[in-house]
Amino acid sequence: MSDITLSDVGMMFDIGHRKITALRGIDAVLPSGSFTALIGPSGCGKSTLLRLIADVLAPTSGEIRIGDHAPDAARKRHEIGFVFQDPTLLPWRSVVENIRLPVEVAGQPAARQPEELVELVGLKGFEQARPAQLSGGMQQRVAIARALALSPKVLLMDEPFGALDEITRQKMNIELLNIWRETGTTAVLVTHSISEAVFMADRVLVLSANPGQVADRIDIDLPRPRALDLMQDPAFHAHENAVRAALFSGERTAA
Amino acid sequence: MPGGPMAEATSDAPAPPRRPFAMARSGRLTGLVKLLLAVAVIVALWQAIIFWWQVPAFIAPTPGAVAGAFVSHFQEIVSSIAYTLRSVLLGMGLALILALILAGLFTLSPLLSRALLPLVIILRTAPILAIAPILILIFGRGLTTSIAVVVMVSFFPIMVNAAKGLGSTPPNALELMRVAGATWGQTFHKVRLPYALPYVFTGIRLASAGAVLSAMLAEWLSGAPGIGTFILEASSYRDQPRMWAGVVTSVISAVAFFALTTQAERRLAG
Ligand SMILES: Nc1ncnc2c1ncn2[C@@H]1O[C@H](COP(=O)(O)OP(=O)(O)OP(=O)(O)O)[C@@H](O)[C@H]1O
Ligand SMILES: [Mg+2]
Repeated sequence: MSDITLSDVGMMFDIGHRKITALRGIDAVLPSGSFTALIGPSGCGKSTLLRLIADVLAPTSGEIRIGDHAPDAARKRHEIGFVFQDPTLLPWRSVVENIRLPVEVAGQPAARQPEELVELVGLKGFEQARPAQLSGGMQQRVAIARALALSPKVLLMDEPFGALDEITRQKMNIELLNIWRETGTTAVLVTHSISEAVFMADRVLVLSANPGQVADRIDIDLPRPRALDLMQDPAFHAHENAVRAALFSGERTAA
Repeated sequence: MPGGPMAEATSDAPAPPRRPFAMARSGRLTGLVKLLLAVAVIVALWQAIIFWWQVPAFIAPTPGAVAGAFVSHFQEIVSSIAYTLRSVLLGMGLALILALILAGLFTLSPLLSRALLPLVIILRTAPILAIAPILILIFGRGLTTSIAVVVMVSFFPIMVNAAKGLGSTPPNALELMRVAGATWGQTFHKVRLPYALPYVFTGIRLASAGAVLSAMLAEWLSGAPGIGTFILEASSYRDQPRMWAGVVTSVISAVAFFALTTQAERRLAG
C-alpha cells in the first residue's frame, strides 16, 4: 500500500547568513488511493513539501513514510510521478520522447503508451514537436503525460494547471480524476484555486506561511465520480467557503 | 484544443532548430569563394615580393617552385600529412574521452575536483619540450608519442569546458531525473551530457587550433615520419621549395581541421 505518512515534518533552509524555516510540525496521513489538495499562500512551503515526499530533499526533522518504507525506496522503484511547477522538458527531445523518459529510466514496460497519453492531454498531432514549439500550457500538459507514463503509485502535482485556460483546465481535471480512479494512485495536488481543490480532492490541507504549517484540514465528502455540474451544488459552495475561511484565518494569524 | 496539423507546429516554429538548408549552402559557397580569393592574394603577394626585392631562392622560393616540389614529392607529402593527421585525430579522440571521464568524475565529487585540478594544471603548464623526452622514453619514436603530445595539449581546453558544461545542467532537470529514480550514469548520458554538448564542442574547437602544430612538434623531437619531419628534413638539405611545400600543406591541413571543428560546433551544438 502506498499511503503517505508525515510525522512532525520540519524543513529548514540554510541560506548562508540565516536559516529559513520553510515547514514546521507537519502531521498528516494521506491514505493509499486518496486525493489530497494542498492550498496556501505563495512561499508557504507547498513545493517544498512535495519535494520532501518525493525524496528530492530530506526533512531536517520528523519522518516521512510511503507505505512501510522511507520515500527513497518508492523513488528508486520508480513509483513516484511528479509534475513540477515548471514543465522541465528536455529541449532536444520531442513530445513523445519526453513522455517516454521515465519509462526509459525505469527500464520497465510503459503502463500507457506515450502516443495514448499525448491524445489524453489533447496534444494529438504534436507528437514530434519540440518543447520550444509549444505554448506554456501545452508544455505543462506534456509534463502531466510524462508523470503518468508509468502509472505511479504516488502522483505529486505542483500547480500543473496554472498555465491553462479555464476550459482546458476543467477538461484536464476530469481526465485526471478518471486516471486517478482507474489506477488507484495516491494523489497530491498543489493548487491556488479553491474551487479546483474542492472539485478534485477528498481532503484539502490548508497551509499557512512563516513558518509553513497545516492551518486546517477540510474533508470533502462530495460524491464521486464528480462532474462539472457539481460546481453548481450548494454543498460544493459550502466546502469552498470552508476552505476560504481557513485560508483567510491562516492569513490573519500570520499577520 | 489544438486542431492544428503537425506541419504547422514544425514549419512556423518560433524556435530556430536549424538554419534553412538553402541559406547554409549559399553561405558555404561564398565562404569558398572568399577562401580562394585569399589564397590567390597571398600567392600573388608572395610572387610580387620575390620579384620586387629579388629575394634569392635559398631564402624564399617562388610559388611556382613550391608547386613543382609539391608535385614531385606528392606521394611523400600525402603519406606524411596522413601520418600527422592520424596522430591528431587519435590524440584528440583520446583527449576527448579522458576529458569527459575526468569532468564526469568532477561532477561526482567537488572534493575530487579540488584535489585533481591542480595536478591537471601542472601538467598543462609544463613545457612540452621538457616532457617530450620522457614521453619518447616511454612510448618510443612512433605514433604513440605524437598521440601523447596531442593529448597533453588538447586535453586541458576540452576538460575545462566539459566540466563547465556538465556543471551547468539546470537544477530542475536533475530533480526530474532524481524523482524518476535514475542512476548516476543515466542522468549523465540522458541529461548532463546533452546539456554540456555545446561546451564540449567549444573545447574541441579551441583544442583543434593547436593540435596539428603540437603533433609536428612531437615529430621534430621524435623523428616520426609525419609532415613535421618532412619539413625538418627538407630544411636540413636546404631544399627550400620542398620545405615550403610541406609548410603550405601543414598550414592548409591545420586551417581545414580547425574549420571542420568550428562547423561541427555550429551544426551540432548551435
Ligand atoms: N532550495 C532552497 N533553498 C533555500 N530556501 C528555499 C529553497 N526552496 C525553498 N526555499 C524557501 O522555502 C520557502 C517555501 O518555498 P516553496 O517553494 O515551497 O513555496 P510554495 O508554497 O511552493 O510557493 P509558491 O506558491 O509561490 O510556489 C520559501 O521561503 C523559499 O524561499
Ligand atoms: Mg511552489
